Amino acid sequence: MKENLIDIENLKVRFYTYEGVVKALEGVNLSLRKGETLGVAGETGCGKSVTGLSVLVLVPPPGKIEGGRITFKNANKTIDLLKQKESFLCDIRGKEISMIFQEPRAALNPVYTVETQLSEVFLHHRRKELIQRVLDGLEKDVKNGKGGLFYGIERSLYRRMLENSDSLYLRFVSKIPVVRRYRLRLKKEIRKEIIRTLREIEIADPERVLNMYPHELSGGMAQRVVIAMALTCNPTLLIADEPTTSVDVTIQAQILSLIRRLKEKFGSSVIYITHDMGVIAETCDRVAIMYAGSICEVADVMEIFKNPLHPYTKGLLESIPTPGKEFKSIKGTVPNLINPPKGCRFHPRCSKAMEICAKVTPKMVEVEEGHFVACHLYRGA
Amino acid sequence: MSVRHRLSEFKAGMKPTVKELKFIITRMRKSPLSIVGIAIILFFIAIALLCPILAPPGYPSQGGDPYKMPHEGWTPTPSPPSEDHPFGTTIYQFDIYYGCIWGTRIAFYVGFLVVGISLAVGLFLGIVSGYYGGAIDEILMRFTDIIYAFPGLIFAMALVVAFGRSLTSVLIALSLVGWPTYARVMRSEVLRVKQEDYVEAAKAVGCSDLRVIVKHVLPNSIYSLLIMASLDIGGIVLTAAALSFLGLGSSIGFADWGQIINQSRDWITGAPGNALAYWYTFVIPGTFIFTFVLGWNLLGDALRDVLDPMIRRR
Amino acid sequence: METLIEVVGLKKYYPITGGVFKKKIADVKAVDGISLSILKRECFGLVGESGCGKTTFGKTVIRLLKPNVGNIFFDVPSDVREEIKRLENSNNSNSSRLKKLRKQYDLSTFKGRRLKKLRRRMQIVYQDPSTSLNPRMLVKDLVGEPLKVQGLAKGRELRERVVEMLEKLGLAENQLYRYPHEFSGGQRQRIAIARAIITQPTFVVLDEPTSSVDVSVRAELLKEFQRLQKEFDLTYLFVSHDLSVVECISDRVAVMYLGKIVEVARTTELFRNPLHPYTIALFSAIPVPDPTIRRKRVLLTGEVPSPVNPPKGCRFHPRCSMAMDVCRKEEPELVDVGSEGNEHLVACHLLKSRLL
Repeated sequence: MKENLIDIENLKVRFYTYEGVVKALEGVNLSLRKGETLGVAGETGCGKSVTGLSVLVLVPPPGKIEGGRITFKNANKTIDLLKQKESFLCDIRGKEISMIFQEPRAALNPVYTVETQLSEVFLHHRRKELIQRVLDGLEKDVKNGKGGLFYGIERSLYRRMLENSDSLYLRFVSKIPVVRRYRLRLKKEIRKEIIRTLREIEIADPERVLNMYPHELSGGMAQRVVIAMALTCNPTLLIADEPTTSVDVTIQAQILSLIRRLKEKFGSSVIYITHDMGVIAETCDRVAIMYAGSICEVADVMEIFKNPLHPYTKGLLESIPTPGKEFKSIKGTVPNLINPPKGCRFHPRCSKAMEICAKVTPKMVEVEEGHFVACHLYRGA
Repeated sequence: MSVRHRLSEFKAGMKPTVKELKFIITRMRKSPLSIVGIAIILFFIAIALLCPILAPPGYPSQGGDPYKMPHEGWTPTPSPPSEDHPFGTTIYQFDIYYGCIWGTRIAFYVGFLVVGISLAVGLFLGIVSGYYGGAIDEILMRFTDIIYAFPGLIFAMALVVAFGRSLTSVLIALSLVGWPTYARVMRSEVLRVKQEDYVEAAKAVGCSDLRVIVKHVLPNSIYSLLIMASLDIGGIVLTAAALSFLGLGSSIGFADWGQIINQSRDWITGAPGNALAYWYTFVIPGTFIFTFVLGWNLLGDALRDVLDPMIRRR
Repeated sequence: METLIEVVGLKKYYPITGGVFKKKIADVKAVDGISLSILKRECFGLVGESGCGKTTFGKTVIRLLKPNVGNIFFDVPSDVREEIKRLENSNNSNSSRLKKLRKQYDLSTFKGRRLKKLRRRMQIVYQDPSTSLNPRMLVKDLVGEPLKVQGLAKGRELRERVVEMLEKLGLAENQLYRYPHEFSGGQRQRIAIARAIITQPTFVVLDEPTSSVDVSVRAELLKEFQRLQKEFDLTYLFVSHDLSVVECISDRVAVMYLGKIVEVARTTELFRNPLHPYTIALFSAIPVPDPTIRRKRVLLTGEVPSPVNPPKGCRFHPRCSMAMDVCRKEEPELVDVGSEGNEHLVACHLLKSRLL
């Protein structure tokens, strides 16, 4: 059995707004195995984006993570992400856990070119590696006979950079007009690396794209740049928050196959958040269905479509428009999470609601192997 | 329709407005500075309304005009606060207390008039420019640029030289030079709102241009302007006071805060050996000015805090 | 069935200005020569990706935008239509009779008061109800505005009609005095629909009306559309990029690419037998909510070209795997390759040669 990479236990998130306290997540339990793609499906307002953000501990104010544990197993270390310091989390974000968002052009800073933004990610996480590469290049040049005063100076500067990039000495040197050209080597190295990454993301003309600003890119291209940013450091976990909702169908197909290929190449695990059941059927291994802040059902993707157990899952699958069949919908509306219904949050809209549903919140029960449901209909089944 | 029916209609119609007001009040309550601002403004409104009670006119030296400060005699030296004159007197024995109280009315008059004119002109030009675009936009905006470049103070001086020294010259000068900012801000807001779907939807229903502007564009673009206006009232009063201090505004003896400070120009340095001998001639009217402007600034800030997230919330 | 709308050679360009004097340097050719007809009481689907010009087309047909070139014939009796065609084909295509008929029936010539009266019969429902409803207007004003502006009702009668329409769409009377932001997405869209059909139009353009609502609400809205169509005798132009929704609700479907129509057919025929290479690629890209089916994807290379400078010849040829020489030079026309009574129009050189 593959071991679990992420274990979310009893996650509670609340948003303190003017209208009241929004109980966004109430005791979410989720686990992701290494190397698998977990789909988190649900409608608007069910809390799937908040779950994704919680894994990175990036829930924006007025939201606060109130309780629970998120255990992250990586390289034989098991850590609780919610208890870590911000500096430690900064190291993990982008390197071991990456996230891509829904609106690609909103995730890119409009005043910086693609090159600047990608190099920022590189410099933050892979700085030592790149400096080492420059140094190796310099050593090789010296060996080949290309000596000279400048080489010696640059070598010593880079060696200092390797130890401590932010030292006062280096900052001082960076202000001297001619000498500060030593930084160009690093820039060239980064540029080479960026072009290589962009080619991997199947952008045909990396040199041209490098100098573009985000508003000049099309939706698909921008999303690919964002994916490049997310995957520069080969993260163990990639969280994709509705990455293809705002692009066209044909571009969506391209991006989905790209994510699949990259996943195979780098062996990362993916949490795929979406509301499109078709995309889930295509890309995910396991699926978790969320409704109004809690998980209703978790199962293998084949199981969920063949044998949905929770009434909400059934309603969701039935409401997908199919030609020839009549349109079926789930009656009622998504509840206001400031005053959610007591007991099971779905019971006002459930056709099979019983008395107990309005009083007691159902717990997750394993009905079959790997198939979990939180519904009173399946208690002790 | 029976009276009761009309009443219930009215009540139902008022409900959303009441909800809005409640929301504004609750938000304002959360920030103490905005309460201070509102309190100050209310205080000054009370003074302005109660002028005849607080400082009854009818002195013979006034000659029938309540806005002239009363004085007894023509002694040039100011005299300190006493029982007869709670705030003291300035040169020629003009009563500072009377001047400050009635100066409140002048302050409101100046502030509202200038800002009102600037707002009206700026609003109109901004809407026309922003909504219709094209050549009209270019022409109006270049014209606005020209007016923008005018230095207000110098223009006021020129008017005073031409027409003589009076408060009216100052008012004319300030309102003629004040509207470009409003026009610019209104134009940019209209440009933003013009692109929204609901404006196009209104056109799709068959609304005339006028209706679209008045019912759809205006209510959604006017908020920045109102915030600017409330911040500006304080600023305009300050500028008018400055002009009066320079001698460009109302004549000597007129009940205007800036004018009172103007009258104390020679006495600010005080008597030899006692620099603050005549503090009451400028500190007291100065405090009035300062508090008034502070109140409007706080109110403007509070309005901005309230209205902005509301728009965001929507 | 009778034709309600016939569009001939419609073109809508957006000028791009540049330079100090804002001269026109280029055109965004959003709609570049479209001819099609929409029958009475049908639901005509228009699909394509973003940027292909389908929203522009919808807005131009109802004269929200003024077309650069082309005719839009709305509700013309068939004998008059015949006469117009005859006059156009004859030698004196500039006759005064033709001009008079055009002025009467061709929407592209309408302006002023006639245009305003036209708005009663043609309406549009936008994609996102949170931006298409004025956030500072009450529901009762929003839904009652068309009646007031068109002078169809006022006072008590207006209010009664508003309440009646809201109730037909499942909203209660006590919600009249509320702002749009107090409702959910689905309810907001219903308010937008009420506003669109309160003047009892003949033709409604639905511009991606279900794209911004949840999946479970989508089915409800689609049911509403069908019910309202029957009740009010409406004709729809359903513009969408969501093929599965279009498949369920439309009678006929047209596929658009870069400002031109590439394929038109009855829904069942089109989805069973797509012929144009773009249509095939588009359909193969839809993810199917069934994990047992792994569709073979036809992945398109490259990005959609800019509508400022569309490729010469067939617009799709740079991305088409079966492009021939003629595709680079000549633009294909819409040709009927279907069987008798089953019209299936395609604009592709490949199929034309096959037919011959």
